Amino acid sequence: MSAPDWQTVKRLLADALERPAEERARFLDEACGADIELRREVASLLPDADSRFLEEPATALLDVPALAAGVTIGRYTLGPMLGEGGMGRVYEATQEQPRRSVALKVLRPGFLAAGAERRFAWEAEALARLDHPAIAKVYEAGTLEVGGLALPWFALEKIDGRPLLEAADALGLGRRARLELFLRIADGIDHAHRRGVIHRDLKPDNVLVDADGAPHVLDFGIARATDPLASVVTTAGEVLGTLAYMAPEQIAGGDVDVRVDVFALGGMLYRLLTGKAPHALDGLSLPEVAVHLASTDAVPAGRVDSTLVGDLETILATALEREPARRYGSVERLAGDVRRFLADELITARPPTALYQLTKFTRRHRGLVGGLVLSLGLLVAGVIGTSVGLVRSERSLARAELERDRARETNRLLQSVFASADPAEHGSDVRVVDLLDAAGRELAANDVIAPGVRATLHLTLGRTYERLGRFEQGEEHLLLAIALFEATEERPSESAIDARAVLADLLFSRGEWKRAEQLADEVRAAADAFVDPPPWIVARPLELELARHDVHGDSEAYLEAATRLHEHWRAAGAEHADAYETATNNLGVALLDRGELARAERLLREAVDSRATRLGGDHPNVLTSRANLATCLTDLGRAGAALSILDEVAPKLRAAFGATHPTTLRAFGNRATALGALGEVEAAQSIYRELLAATEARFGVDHAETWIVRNNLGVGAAQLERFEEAEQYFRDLLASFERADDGVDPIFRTRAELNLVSALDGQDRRAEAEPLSRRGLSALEEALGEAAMPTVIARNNHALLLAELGRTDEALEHARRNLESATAKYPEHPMLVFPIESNLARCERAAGDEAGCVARLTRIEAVLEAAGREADLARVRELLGR
Amino acid sequence: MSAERPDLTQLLARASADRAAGEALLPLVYDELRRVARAQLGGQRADTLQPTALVHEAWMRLVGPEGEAVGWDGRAHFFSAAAQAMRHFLVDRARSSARLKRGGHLVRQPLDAVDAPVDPDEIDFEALDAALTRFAERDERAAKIVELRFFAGLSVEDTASALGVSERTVAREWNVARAWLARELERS
Repeated sequence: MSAPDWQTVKRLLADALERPAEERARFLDEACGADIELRREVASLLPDADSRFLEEPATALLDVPALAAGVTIGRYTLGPMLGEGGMGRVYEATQEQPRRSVALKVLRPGFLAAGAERRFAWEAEALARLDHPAIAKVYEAGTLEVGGLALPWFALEKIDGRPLLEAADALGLGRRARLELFLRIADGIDHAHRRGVIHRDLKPDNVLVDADGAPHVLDFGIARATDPLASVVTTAGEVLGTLAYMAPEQIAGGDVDVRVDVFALGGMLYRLLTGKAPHALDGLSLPEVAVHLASTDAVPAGRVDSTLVGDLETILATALEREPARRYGSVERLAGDVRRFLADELITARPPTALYQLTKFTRRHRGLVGGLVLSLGLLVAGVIGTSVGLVRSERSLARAELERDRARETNRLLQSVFASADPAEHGSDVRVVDLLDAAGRELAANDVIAPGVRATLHLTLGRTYERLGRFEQGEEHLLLAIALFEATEERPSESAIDARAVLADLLFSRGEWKRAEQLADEVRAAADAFVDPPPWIVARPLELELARHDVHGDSEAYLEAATRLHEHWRAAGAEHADAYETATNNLGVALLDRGELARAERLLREAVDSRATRLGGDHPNVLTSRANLATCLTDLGRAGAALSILDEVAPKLRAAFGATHPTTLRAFGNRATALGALGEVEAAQSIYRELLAATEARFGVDHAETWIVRNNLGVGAAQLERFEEAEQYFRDLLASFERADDGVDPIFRTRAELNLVSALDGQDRRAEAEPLSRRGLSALEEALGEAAMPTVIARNNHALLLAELGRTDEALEHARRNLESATAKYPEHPMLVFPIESNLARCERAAGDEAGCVARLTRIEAVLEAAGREADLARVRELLGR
Repeated sequence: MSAERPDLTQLLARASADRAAGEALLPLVYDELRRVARAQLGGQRADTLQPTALVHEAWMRLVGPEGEAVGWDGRAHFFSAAAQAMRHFLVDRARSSARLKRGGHLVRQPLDAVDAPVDPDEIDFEALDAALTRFAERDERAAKIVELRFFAGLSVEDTASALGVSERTVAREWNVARAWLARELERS
């Protein structure tokens, strides 16, 4: 007889079970009739009357009650329970030998997964070997059998302290102290990593800070020692809190290594510095959280707190990279960058975008010669300073007396002007310009003042207007000063030379180059006519050369003049400290333009420090040098540091000079450049758009200051891959060059043309671009030399262009030559390896030399890896197909 | 489920099929279910559990307020996956605890002072798992009902909704399945 049919059994059984227990036998008798097999089968399935089998859901079966105080586990006697989490419970416990209080953590049953016992033993030993002040010690580990279930336990160092974030706030830690606290934590993690132990569950709540301010990382390796499952099961309700610090590969359940701790540390540092977790997860459901974390970058720290923009933001973003390969490869590297940041050194992480394709023009500020007149106090000081300077430079006592008279008259005039400044009329914030206008009116109306004194007053007013960017009024006063000096003084008149030099400078600034150069020649001729000239007379022609080269963008000639000036003022002695500082600043700028960044940085820092010591931190000369230093940092790849300087300096310059002063405009332009270097191109573009309107209004469309802004707008558009828009900017620019009265510097034009090449290249119009690129390259090579940075960039781009056009032999030749000349000129430059050499590899690949390409890329990979340049490394690995 | 929202069900399905992949996700579900269950039980192991509330709360916690819009279809998948996840988890736990009893390199401390808080003999998860697998070959839907009722803690009503059958069918098949499994476990 075959086994009874299941459907029949099932139906009868179900029917029977719906009846009271006492009726079931009779029911089966009737239903089964003669089928004995069927009846036996169904009857064997009828449960005992009181069976509660499976009635209680499995979810209710997973808990073990808390252990009572007084229970002993190994050498430990349990005290009260200190806390309870998803992973288990923590009890206070005492140990007899040695007598001490410990924290005893008993995990929930089930957290020792299949095959885990050996690993648990091994890990427990590894944990016990960890010995670092920042890691809560694991004394002992074991398992406990309760009713046949295995409960792993750990005896841990008991830390009296507060959770990290609470402690940092309570101790009132500032940014530096937080970074230093973080480094102590990171050092502990690094110690463990070197011994093969990964934490896997780092979060602020797992770090306690004791009364001495020392951090202690808890639960080190416990997650790993027990079961990966346990690593995410936390105190009820804290699942999201844990996930916020978990690396995507860990959430996805993939292979994990030390980089999950790097990621978690990044999140922790982010929280420490911004007060917020790196991801906004509020209101998201769990699966949304998982997907969000796997697909979205952390909110850039600089958006939460703008003072973090720059290096710290870059460090955080690199630690929080979703792709492990782009993340810091070790905690040591992360900590290293934080240390470098604290020491104000170059960090190894690179901002996400590093563009070498396009030339952005940056204008640096020539140092301002002489004292700068700004506030009322400074205005007086400036006038007196000028006068005393003149006195010192005069040789005859009679002249000295005359100068003293002039100084006295000048100050008397200004005092009367200040006294007449009516707060009711001007408000409490009297503008310097208003006072200068009042002084001018006073001077015009006063016919008692001697012509010599009057000339000095006009010079003072003219110089001040020039500094303030009020060129029209400045020119008016300077012309009057020149005429008066020449009428009243013997020739060559020192004062007339001075006034001419100021006027020439003014005209250079205004873009009237031809008139300016004519005046500059006159100044040189007059200075040359001096027998035994005073130092400032010697300096004036050189200073005007700087102005001229600045306008023409001839960086080599600029450097030569700046070097001579620097040497001149150094030899002139300590009494000319102000002029020496200016010369130092200018030499720094010159080196910056030539790409000699290390020396440039040193000189600019020297200028900043010296000026700040002598003049106070907010003096415009200090601000100017700082703005230049920031530009240098941008070029050094430290745009973050640059930006934080410019964020402070640019508004101060605006307050000092006014919104449309060239110095202000340049400072904001440099700020936009730094933003662009950080990849914040949209933000940079909106600054440039404002600047374009401002420069067009101030200088006109066909003026160098406007050209620079228009060019940079084109560069930004190209960076955003809006190549047609970029092309338009560059074509407008080239058209504007044609309209300019004085023409345009050839280098300037060439660089704009090369930018047009990039815009065309972006639209795949390479055949159209190639002749322009070739011509631009040879123009740069001729003008600046083969190894000048602009030439190197142009050749790099030209090689790639040729490779794309299939002219691989030419491409290879250019790429090789480029690497050679750049290596000779900039042996230490980070660009050498990437992208210059990596582009040579690309050309080799295009030429069919795959083996050579791969070998080269492999070498580059090793160098980048050693340098910890994760972003560049990732790109090279892409080229390697990894 | 709508195409836009992250699909926990798929993640769970993958998790229950591939333990390595699911290591991180499973316990989240487990933890939520356990927590909800504990809250429901008020710390007592009693039969006052209100499964419907439990289901809804776990669902809401895991899928969020938008879960309401997903409808029962999505929930059915969800709870099916969750139940399987839970089943794997419990069985693994049982296996590992069995292995631990054979010792190893660990410091083991039998505890006389503590009453066994759970009776592991009450349910042999390994045996239950094997029996349920055999039962599924015989009656797939009834086996599913066991998963949903026992491992995911669904009420009869919710199980019926999830499977698209009447509550009476669920109640009848649940009884049958329990009877069959109980006999299997007694025999083993």
